[in-house]
Amino acid sequence: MSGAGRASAALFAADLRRELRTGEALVPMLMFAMIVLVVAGVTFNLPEMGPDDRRRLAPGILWTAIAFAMLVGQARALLVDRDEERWQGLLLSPLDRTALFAVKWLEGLLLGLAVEVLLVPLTIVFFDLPPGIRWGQFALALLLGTGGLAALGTLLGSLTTSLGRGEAMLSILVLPVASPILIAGSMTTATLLAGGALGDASPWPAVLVSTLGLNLALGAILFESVLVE
Amino acid sequence: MSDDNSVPIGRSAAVLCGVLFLAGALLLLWGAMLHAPTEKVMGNVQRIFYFHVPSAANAMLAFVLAGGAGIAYLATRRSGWDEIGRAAVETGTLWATIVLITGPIWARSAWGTWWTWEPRLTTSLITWLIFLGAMLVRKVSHNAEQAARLASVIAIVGVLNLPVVYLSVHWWRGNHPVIFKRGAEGALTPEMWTAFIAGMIGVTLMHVALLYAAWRTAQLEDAVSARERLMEHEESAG
Repeated sequence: MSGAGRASAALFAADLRRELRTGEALVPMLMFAMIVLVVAGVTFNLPEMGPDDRRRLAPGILWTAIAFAMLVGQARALLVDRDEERWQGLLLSPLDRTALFAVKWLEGLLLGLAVEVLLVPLTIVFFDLPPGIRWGQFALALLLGTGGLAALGTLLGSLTTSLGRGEAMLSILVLPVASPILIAGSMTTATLLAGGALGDASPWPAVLVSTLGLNLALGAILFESVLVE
Repeated sequence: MSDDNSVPIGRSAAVLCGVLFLAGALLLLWGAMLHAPTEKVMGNVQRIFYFHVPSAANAMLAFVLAGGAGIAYLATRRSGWDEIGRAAVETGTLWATIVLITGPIWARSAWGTWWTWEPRLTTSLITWLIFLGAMLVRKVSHNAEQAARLASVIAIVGVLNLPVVYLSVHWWRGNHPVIFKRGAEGALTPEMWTAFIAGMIGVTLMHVALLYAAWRTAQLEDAVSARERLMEHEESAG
């Protein structure tokens, strides 16, 4: 493994150990995601809804919960980095900025996926959805959408961190740009929940792939410009 | 140029700006209010179209300019590009705001509701929110360099995501009303086309005048900031 690769792996391992020890990003994310589901269940009066209405509503609620939980988690993780002056160390290290972006993106993606491990079964239970769907394709759709959200969250989260701002500012910046991911994620998920396959959800899986590619490329190119100097 | 100001006010340019804006406004009003016939179904409310569509086109034009200026700024770090980008975001947001005001007025008359998730209106709303974010970032930045750098990033991310936003909103909403369908019922008459082109030219002239004024204001703001920094430096040194 090259020097940059070793440094990236070391940073990733250190951040992962810290997260596993403290849960400073994951715990608020899980709490927040569950609260979104509960609030949706109460405000939309789910018990009065028929199965079709619940199935139509579930994808939107699921992606709203994912998006807000990721904003909370990524903003939290980046602010802790800043408050504990870890950013200064990272910026002084010889680690390439693109590699730093890749590590922070991967961490954001893993946080999002960890939340989804709890959130998806809860959504199925709360919304009384049929469990017999194509789980592999469902996981792929979640992976693509979460990857795109994590890329935007990493780039714009670092931007708001350099301003000393938290989740509110990050939401203002990320959510409008993330609207294609949220639309495509909801539409793909809706098709899969209705018993369809990824191919039936066209063109939405392609939108998820293209937003992931675009936002990863933007993040890799622009990350250096948003870092605290 | 006066001795106490490094950036000239440009009185003749300001007068030209005013003339350009007035000419544009008069052309727009002539086309929309005098030349265009009253539409049979919607009546006078349809005249909003001659203002609404050119406003949307100019908003998009300004946002593309802001994105281009953002790329140029990050590549060169010359404040001149940031001044252009700042002006373009401001005028683009203004035109997008007009789109979001005139759109619901149209929607109320055409579709019986103030708001509809019609693709163009939805795209305009999302675009407006993206560029309001760019203005907000500038407002909360700690210094001019940081404001320029971060606002440039937002403008670039916003502009490069615009085609995906546009396409996904259109696919999401499926079929939507088509205004420019040649030969179809409800298509524009020759007088309506003339009024539309007059509106397009008129709003673009108004936009050029506003863009110039906003750009000059940005230049003057930077000159004032530079002078203030110099005075602070002199005071601390003295």
